[in-house]
Amino acid sequence: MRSYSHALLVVAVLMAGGCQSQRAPEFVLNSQTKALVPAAQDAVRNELQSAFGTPTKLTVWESLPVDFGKFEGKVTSVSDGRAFVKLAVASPNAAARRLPEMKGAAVKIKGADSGLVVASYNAETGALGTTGSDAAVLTADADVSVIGDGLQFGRDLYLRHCMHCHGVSGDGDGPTAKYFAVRPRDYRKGTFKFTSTKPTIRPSRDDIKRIIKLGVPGTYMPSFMLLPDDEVIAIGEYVRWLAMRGELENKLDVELGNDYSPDAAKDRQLKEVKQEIESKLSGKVTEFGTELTEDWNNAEDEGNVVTPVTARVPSDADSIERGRKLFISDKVKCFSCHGETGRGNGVSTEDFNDIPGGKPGEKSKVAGLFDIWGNVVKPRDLTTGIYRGGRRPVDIYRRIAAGIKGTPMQAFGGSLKDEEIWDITNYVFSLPYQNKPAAKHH
Amino acid sequence: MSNSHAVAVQEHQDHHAGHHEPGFIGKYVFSKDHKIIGIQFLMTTLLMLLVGGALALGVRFQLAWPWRAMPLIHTLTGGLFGSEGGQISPEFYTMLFTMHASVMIFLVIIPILAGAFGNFLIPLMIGADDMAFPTLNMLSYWFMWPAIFCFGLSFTIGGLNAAPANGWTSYPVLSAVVDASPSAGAPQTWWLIGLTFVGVSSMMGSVNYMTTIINMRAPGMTLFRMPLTIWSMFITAILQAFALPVLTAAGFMLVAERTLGFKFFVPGNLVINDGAPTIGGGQPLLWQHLFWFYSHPAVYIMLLPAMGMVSDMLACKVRKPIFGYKPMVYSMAAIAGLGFIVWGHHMFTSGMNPALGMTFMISTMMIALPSAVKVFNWIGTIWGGKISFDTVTLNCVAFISMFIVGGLSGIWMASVPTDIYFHDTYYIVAHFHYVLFGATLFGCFGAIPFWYPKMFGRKMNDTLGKLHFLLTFIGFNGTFFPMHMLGIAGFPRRYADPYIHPYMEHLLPMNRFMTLCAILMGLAQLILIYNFVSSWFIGERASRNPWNANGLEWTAPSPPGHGNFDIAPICYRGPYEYSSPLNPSDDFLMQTDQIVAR
Amino acid sequence: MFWPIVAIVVLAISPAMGWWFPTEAFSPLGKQIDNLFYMILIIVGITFIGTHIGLGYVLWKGVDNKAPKAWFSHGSHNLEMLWSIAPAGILMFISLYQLDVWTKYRVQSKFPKDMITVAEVTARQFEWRIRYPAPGKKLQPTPQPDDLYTVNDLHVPVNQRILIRLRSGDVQHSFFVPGLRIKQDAVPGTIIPVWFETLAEGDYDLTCAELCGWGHYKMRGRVLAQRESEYHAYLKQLAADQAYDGHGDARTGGADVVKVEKATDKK
Repeated sequence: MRSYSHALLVVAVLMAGGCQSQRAPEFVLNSQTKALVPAAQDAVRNELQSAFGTPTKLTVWESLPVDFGKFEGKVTSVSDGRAFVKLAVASPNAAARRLPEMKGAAVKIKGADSGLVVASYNAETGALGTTGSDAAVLTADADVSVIGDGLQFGRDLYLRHCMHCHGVSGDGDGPTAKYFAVRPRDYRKGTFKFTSTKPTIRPSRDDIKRIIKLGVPGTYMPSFMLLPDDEVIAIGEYVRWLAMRGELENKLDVELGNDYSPDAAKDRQLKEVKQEIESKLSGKVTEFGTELTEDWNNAEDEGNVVTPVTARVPSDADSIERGRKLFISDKVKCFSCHGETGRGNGVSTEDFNDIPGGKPGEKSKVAGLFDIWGNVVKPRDLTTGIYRGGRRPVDIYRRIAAGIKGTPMQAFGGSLKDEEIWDITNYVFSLPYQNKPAAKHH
Repeated sequence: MSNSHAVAVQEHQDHHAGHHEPGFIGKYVFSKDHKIIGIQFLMTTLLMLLVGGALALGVRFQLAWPWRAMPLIHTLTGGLFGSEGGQISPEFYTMLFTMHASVMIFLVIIPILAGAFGNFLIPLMIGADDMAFPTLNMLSYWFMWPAIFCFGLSFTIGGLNAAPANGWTSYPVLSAVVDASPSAGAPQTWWLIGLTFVGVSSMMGSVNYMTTIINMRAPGMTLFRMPLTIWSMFITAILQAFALPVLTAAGFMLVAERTLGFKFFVPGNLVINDGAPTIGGGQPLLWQHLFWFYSHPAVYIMLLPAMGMVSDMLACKVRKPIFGYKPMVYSMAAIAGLGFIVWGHHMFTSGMNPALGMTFMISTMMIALPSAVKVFNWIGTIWGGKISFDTVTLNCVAFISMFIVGGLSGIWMASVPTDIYFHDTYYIVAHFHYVLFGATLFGCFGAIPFWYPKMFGRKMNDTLGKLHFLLTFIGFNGTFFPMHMLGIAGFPRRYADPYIHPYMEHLLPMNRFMTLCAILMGLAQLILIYNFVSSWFIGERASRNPWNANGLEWTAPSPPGHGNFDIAPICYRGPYEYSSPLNPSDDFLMQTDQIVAR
Repeated sequence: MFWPIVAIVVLAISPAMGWWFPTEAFSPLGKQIDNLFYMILIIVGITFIGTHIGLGYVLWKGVDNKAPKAWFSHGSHNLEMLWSIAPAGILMFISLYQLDVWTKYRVQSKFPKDMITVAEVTARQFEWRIRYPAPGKKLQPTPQPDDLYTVNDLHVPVNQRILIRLRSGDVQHSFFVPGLRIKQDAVPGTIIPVWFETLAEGDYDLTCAELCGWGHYKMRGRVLAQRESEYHAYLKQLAADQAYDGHGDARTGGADVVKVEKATDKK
């Protein structure tokens, strides 16, 4: 009947049209980059793409301190144009489990790029299927390594668990983020609030793992306590990778910002500008990569962990009283933000304060406290007993000694003695239990 | 001895005197004629059925292919069904299931039964020329549109991705505190206002139906000569009248809480989204009691008319009287009456007083009884009948079968200990889809071709109807029967990504199968729409009584003109005298047929 | 009439295919719930099969009916009595049969006398915050300075009757442990005591069963039943971790790293 054939046609059209229009996730450029002239924007985009790739096609920049995931092995035999590779893996299951993530990972021969990419790998038989350039380069006994599956694994987990708040680019602006009073972290400055490292140092891998496992109490960052360790580590690597990508973009912006903003470059010729940018940036990315490597490797250095020199002073009434005195002293001025009773309602919340990350002495036009991401930041109400960065004594010690990166909570480790920091810590811990109003706690 | 199909009594209705013809707007748009209003309801609800179904497909797509953008739809809607990264966001998922349920319940099922069929059939079946309050009737239809507008506005007002997202049950504290969920701002308020409009529309209808049925029956039509459709509409109208005010009140309380700072539902000292601690004094459970006090009778509002219509259709198609007419009436009344005292079975795990758990369990178990009696009576009706299997019969038999499944699965939920496990899992979803879709909607799919000749003067295509039935039946069971198993597996409702929980990872293939069946089912509805629309133009023309049925509506022309009957009917007997020995030449005996003694 | 057969077949193969309870019930009340489930399944199964045989039979006969008219019957009083009283009896039986499970589960005066109050579990958007008392102490209604805190990971001693105090920090949630067959809504503004007993060591999934916002599905937790010695050792370790002052410990991989114990296999 005519009506049936019409219906089939409609269905066929729908299905044909459907399969081609999946929208893939894409990295976005930050606002500073978008403020440059188009030629400069393109240059930044291209550099980022060649160093990091796209979310669907990740690029491995091996010198970065990221665990991209690597399997190594030897080609045991070649037959019918297919290579059989014995990969050294911890257990046969490890490779099998990572099979979906291995697809697309780069294959290297004797450490050099082969242009091949993994299409399939059968852990039992060892059959390795590749696509890309000439697969015949895989000769018997060749040393083969497969790189990038770990990063892909992290990416897949990130897209499933993290992306909708933290965004595809790690910009803290995913679709769900707009409903949050406390914004998700924008990784792209390389700054993370709750770390164990010194004020100018990046977070360590353990710091990131801790936040993922424990969550950030009092915010919408949930605890992923029950994710297996290997998944948490993979996500952590991907987060670090996103942070490095963001930092590279920042560095490129700084490099180009003066000369290629719309004001500076408005009357210049496109071709001339392009050539100039090219020469300006040649070799720069490698240089920046070295900086990134050094920065992020420093974070793993034990010497950069904020470690109390003295053991915690016992939390007796004397210590708490000393802590209280320090809290309201002019030397430390905790009360100016945290309020005289620790409720987070200090006068700074209504003052015109320094612009974070801006020129010293330059005051903001808007009253209140802000972080370097431009969000309003509320000093913690210490009477609730909720500690975002952790509730161990060492966590509070670190908040006081090293500050909270990116926020007006400064580092007092230089101006206070260890015992004084412990006294303040003890006082802070006592605050929720003073003047107990009924049923106030969570 | 001949039977005349119309009694030759001319009666000139007084209020027809001085009547002037309304223009096109008055006749077809703002019509006060119950038949036009009924058809308006029917077309609007069928349209809303497609909208609600599309939203459901969104839900199913996410469960089958988590975190992928929907093919085609994603691009066509400019990224609506998939935000950053090409996947739908978790809050969008919550909006999908909330609006699916809201649209289906308030804009489809309740209006199609009471508004479409109730309106069209009540005056015709009882021999009246129109409803008691024609203007009120018109208003009850037109109040649906502000409701649709409000629901639609709630989708857009927070930005396209911010429809209400707190479930159709809209429990506070989630729906009461503006920061608690993405849509708990303006969209939720608009949703509540839309709900109020639906409520007003229903109340108008309910008042109209009760008055019409009580006062305007044809001479000779005693209460126990009314068709079961009318009984069901009558009882449903009573349910509406008594239950709806509670929902409206609850809705106003929630709006007041959200906009005026009243504290009915939100307790104090809660910190939500890093806000200041709430200043409260409210009780979240209060909403649940008020809401379910209406919404449980609502489910019977969504079922009884279909039961009544199926009884009528079945008796006609098997050429037999209804088995146990009076028990059928009493069962419907019992379902309605008991329906007022079972609402707590939605709240067994809510933290309410456990003593209530025991009382509600017993009343809920008892409500299974009249439903069972009705099922047995339907089987008894078919017993010894002569059946012709066309679209109508197929849908009615499916109604019985699906209702058996839905009703039986309710027993695990009535029994409190098992409900502890099944509450808020897919077991519940299976149950209510079996009774609301499997029973009610199949009943409607039978009622549409059955009364279409009376509405439009043409018959719908039976082959297409059977095809639609087959595909819908297969799709429906493929989608919803496995949900029982999902519930047993502990698969909670309203989860955007259940598969991050290890104990549910293995259920993904089943969910894919269910989604494919759902897509099949969705596409099959296009057959119904095509059949509905094309039959207007090319359907076989219908006589007054194409099915040889007994009711008063079949004495009127197809379609009936203004005033319905050319000769005012007088009723001589009940509606189910099929195969009566009193009529030797035919196997039916209309209610208006006078038996002239030999 | 083919479909009821398909339905029954699918139901019959479901346990083998894994479309069934995630595990057997590992709590005594849970086992009773399962027994009730199966009892109702048998009653319902017989009813389903019976009604569908009846329906199928009358349909088949009806299609075949060559008589000029159908059977002119308005019903049968006796049948109405039969099929009103019999189902009523069965339904009353089902309701009363397990009333004691419900009362034991929810009526506080019927709770076991030898329960141990293990923790206060506060559900919040979108995780389970757990507060244990310090080792050797009793859980107090308000937080104490030496309480132990963790998230999403509730340890309980196995084979003992455990009580937790369930609260909510923001909106409604629901404490659902499928393997133990327990579910209780967490209602803001109230503290609800929930008791249970685990019959085997192991890891029981905990998940949220009341819509609480966009992250409703993210609330993945677990209840880990351990033998007493391990349970106490865990609490001691938690106390030590929570008192960790980092002094002299510059290893970045030291006690900074959060460990989650693997569960032992369930018996």
